[in-house]
Amino acid sequence: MTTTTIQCPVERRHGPLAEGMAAMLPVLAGIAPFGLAIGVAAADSSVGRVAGWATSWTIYAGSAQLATIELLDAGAAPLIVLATVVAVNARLLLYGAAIAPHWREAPRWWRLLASYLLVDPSYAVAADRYQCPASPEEKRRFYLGAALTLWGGWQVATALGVVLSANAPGASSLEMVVPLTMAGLLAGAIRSTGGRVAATVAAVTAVAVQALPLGTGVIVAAVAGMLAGAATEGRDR
Amino acid sequence: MTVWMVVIAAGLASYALRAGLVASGVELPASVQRRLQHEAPAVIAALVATSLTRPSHGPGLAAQLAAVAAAFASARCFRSVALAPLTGLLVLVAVGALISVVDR
Repeated sequence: MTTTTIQCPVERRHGPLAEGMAAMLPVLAGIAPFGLAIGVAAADSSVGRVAGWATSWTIYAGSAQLATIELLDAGAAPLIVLATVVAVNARLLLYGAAIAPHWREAPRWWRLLASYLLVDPSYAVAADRYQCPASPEEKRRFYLGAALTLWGGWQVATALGVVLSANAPGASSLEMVVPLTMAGLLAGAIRSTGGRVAATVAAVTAVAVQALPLGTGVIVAAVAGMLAGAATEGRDR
Repeated sequence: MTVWMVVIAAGLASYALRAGLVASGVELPASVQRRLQHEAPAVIAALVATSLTRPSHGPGLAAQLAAVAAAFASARCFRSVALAPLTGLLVLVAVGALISVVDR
């Protein structure tokens, strides 16, 4: 049986843009230490402070940013760096596919802009709220509020990490902040039996295939979990 | 190829992944979309599990697992992602200290 725990706003005191910003702030508070750690890692590497920070607005995805900085610092070939970024970020293609139906009526320029802001937390927050009734315009404003808040906060957090790296604790002491924050995101992302099965299968598979190169293990595990979750809900239906 | 060129190329590749299906207007079949509903928990769980398998200079795996479980539980109970890393770090320090005392 499928159970959902979605909480839709009962009465709207603010516009959807402000609602989006408010929905993202707690997530941003959890993600900010990760951005700080990436800034510290960038400053401590041979990549260069400005180039390391620039990954925040070019790549704009924490795990891929870290992979890029680490690989460049280790002297990896550019093609290896690019292949790794594509492998780590392949999930963004699926996010785009999942969220595209909600933006179908939006102008092309808006979809191009909104795509740039699409990353794990902005997708998670939007996907959560998109299950509540709302007009396409409200959905777009909510997303922009949430996604722009995240983008701005992320730029500030990584820049702070770069600037304060001389006095900040080593990046290694912050490394657990990343999985802990993601565990919090996971708690919000699981809303059904299928979601629980998807997460469990993906976690077990990720450990089993961790030796796969270029970060492809994450993709393999995610696909396995996704299929298991869908199969579970299909059986329940 | 300079560092900057790699950073920009990686950014363009990331953007192409994001915008590919959104901008093209291509719609996936309903069955595929149904599977994608489980994409977020699957990817996040895979990332968490993968990060725990990396060599770490910090406390051992038992403390890390306890911290992740505590972070998950606190976010679930209090509906706050911000609490997750704080709770997790507290548990990480506490369990790490406990293990080091027992080991002694």
